[in-house]
Amino acid sequence: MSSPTDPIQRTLRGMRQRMRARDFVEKIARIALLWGAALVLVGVVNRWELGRMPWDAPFALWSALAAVAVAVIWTFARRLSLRAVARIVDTRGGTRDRFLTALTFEEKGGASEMRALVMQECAAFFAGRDFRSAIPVPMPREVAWLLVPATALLMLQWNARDESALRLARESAGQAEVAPTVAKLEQLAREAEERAAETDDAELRKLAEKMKRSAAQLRAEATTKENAAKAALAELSTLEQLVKELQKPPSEVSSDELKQLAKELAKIDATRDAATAIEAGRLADAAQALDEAAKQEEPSAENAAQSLKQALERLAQQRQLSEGLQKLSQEMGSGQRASEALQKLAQMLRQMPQAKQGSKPQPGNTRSPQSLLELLAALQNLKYGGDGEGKGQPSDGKPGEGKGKVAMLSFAKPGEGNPQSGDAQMPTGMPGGEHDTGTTETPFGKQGSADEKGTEAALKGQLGEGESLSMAMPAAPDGSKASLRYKELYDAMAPAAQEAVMQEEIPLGSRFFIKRYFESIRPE
Amino acid sequence: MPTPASLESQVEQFRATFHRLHAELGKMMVGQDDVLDGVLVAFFSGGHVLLEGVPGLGKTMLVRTLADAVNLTFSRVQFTPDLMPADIVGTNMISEDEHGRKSFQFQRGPIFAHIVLADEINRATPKTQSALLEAMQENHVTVGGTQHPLDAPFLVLATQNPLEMEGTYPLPEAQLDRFFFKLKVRFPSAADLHTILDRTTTNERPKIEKVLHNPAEVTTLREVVRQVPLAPEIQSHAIDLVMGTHPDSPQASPLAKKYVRYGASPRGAQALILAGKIYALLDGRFHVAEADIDKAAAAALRHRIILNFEGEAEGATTDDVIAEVLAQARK
Repeated sequence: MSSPTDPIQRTLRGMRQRMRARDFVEKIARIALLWGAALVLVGVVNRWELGRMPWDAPFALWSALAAVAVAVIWTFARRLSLRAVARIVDTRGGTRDRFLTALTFEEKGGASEMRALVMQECAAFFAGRDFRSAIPVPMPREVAWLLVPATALLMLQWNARDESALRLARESAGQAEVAPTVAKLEQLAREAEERAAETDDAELRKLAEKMKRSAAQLRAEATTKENAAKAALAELSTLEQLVKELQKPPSEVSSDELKQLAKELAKIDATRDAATAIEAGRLADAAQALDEAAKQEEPSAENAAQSLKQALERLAQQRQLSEGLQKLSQEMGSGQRASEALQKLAQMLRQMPQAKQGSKPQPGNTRSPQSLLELLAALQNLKYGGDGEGKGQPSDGKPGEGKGKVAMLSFAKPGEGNPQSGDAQMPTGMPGGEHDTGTTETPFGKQGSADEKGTEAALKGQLGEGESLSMAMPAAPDGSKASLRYKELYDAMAPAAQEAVMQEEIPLGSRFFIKRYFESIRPE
Repeated sequence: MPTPASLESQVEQFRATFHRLHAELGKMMVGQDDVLDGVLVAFFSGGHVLLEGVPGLGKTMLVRTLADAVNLTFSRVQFTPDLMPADIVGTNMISEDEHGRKSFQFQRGPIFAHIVLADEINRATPKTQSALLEAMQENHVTVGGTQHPLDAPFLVLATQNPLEMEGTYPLPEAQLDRFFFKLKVRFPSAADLHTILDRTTTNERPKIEKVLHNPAEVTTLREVVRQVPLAPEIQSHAIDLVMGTHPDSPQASPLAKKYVRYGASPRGAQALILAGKIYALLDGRFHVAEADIDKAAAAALRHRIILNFEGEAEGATTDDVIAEVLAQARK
């Protein structure tokens, strides 16, 4: 049996469903608006901060699903009671609180006669009326505003695609720009590798590897035409510097150092032969003996290296260590293997002039200065745009004869049919030749050879045990005021200054200036 | 116990009586439907009415007509500054019987009527005004230690002139609270004036029909009114309205906080509910709705709210406060 309130409760439940639907539509619209704004923000960050595409389909899909889930949770989290629904429907439907009153009296029970009249009146009022219009489900206002983020996102995506296409074009241009340089660098690297393999030159091998890495780096960094030029210049400058480092002659080891070194090496069985050779002045033999010592079993080589390290430390304490030996000492200190340290020492000995004069070239040390110069020339050709097309000296060694092969192609073994460089000392296209740009090592023009102007020697000062004058200046003066008045300071220092001037032998022509200087700083 | 059918007929009788009374009063008082409604609502609720309006708007005629229509006794007291309490409630007078014995005998004052018109009540001194207090609230007067009950139904309709304030004594709060409604009698429109003139300047006087014939009928109809139920939420609404007029209450409206010294009393809430019930019945319903409460709010609360000095200085009215409280409650 149905009570008069059954239709009322049914109606109210229906109204509650409508309210939920309306809430959901409103909330989904709001969340969509927020979601759109968030997508725009993310898109902007992606686009201009991270340099990525503003958004992609999976991200948009997942975030949309998340937004719907939030809207559903938000809607169902707010659970309205039937009484609350009744109040809302009463307010909006103009029912004069009939829903609320009927629901109240039904829940309270114990109906009086007047309450029965109330229920009848309410039921009669509700009969045949449609209250759905009291709870409309309109299209939320926010829906229209969704166009804003949607448009912004589309514009972002459009802009990003354009930018992407432009960037690809720039990258292609950059790659095209560096492609010849990269190809030449790789070719140089291959040739250097071949040469290193023939001569067993570790430095040359490293150089070849560095050139390969530079080529790869160049390819990676050539994102635009401008970047390509800069990257090429940077990489080639690095390589050029590296080659110049290799060109530098090994530091001179003094005869005293050699004697000390021989004395220390003589204390070790494994290096005794090397010590004997050093004392005899046969540095090449000494180098060979050290190589053999390095190839010995690990304990012996380790012992030899330890002794060598101690010897170098003792020499260092006596401040009698040349640059090369200092470097070797540092490398040993930084954990270099014993055998490698011995090999380095051997190599150092081979590079000494005494060794070159007194022995035949060793297979592991046949890197000639000429080959390095050719390599340098090839790199400088690349760096300064000397592609052999009219700039500077062509690679066939005939200046002014138009196009020719680049100088780098001459970096090959003589006699293999490759053309020779015209002037190894002043390679083609190198600034400082015909048109000095000030970037050469000698700004006054062509550098003279050692044969013409005598042997260049570095004069090294000896740090003795005697007295020395030193002045500690911890820092520049700050802005605080002087604690002593200038006049007082001048008066205190003037006698000492005068005495110092008197003690010095000052040329006659300069005495006037010195006197005027002291007069100028005298306080008023 | 009445059956639903008999109750429904009683309700119908109430509606019919109300409307007939309204029509009869309307014959004599033109263009004041709100005032007529208010007077009748207060009459059937058992409350008293304070009518505020300038002279000549038919206030006295209204009360006299009501007394005629409901066939109840009527008396009129013109309040003046020299009016004494005994002039209203009566006094003990020495009387001599047939045997020559003298004794005090209570001489009933004009308050001993079903409907009392206290004309220009604010012209009497507070002492005299307060003589009405006991009668209005307790329906009896005490003279010489003896209580004298008043006849039921008892209705006081007091009038006061809002303009001539010189030489007047504003009613104390306690007495104001005794009035169920305070109704403002406004000046009629030009069309209503035509009707008034037509009816009062010719020989044809409107004839007032008797709608009720004895006081018992009034009591029965008042009982019907009190049976009208209301939901707790509706009662809460009435309470919210009253609390909204209290400046210290959390529900207080901004205007109440600023301009009100004391808010409405619980009698205000009672008036709201009782008046709401009558309005519900008149609307054809058997339950009270928020709208019924709202309809009664101004008349039931305006004289129960005491403005502070700032409010009076700013020219704020209690009606403004009530309007804001109503607006706040509807949100």
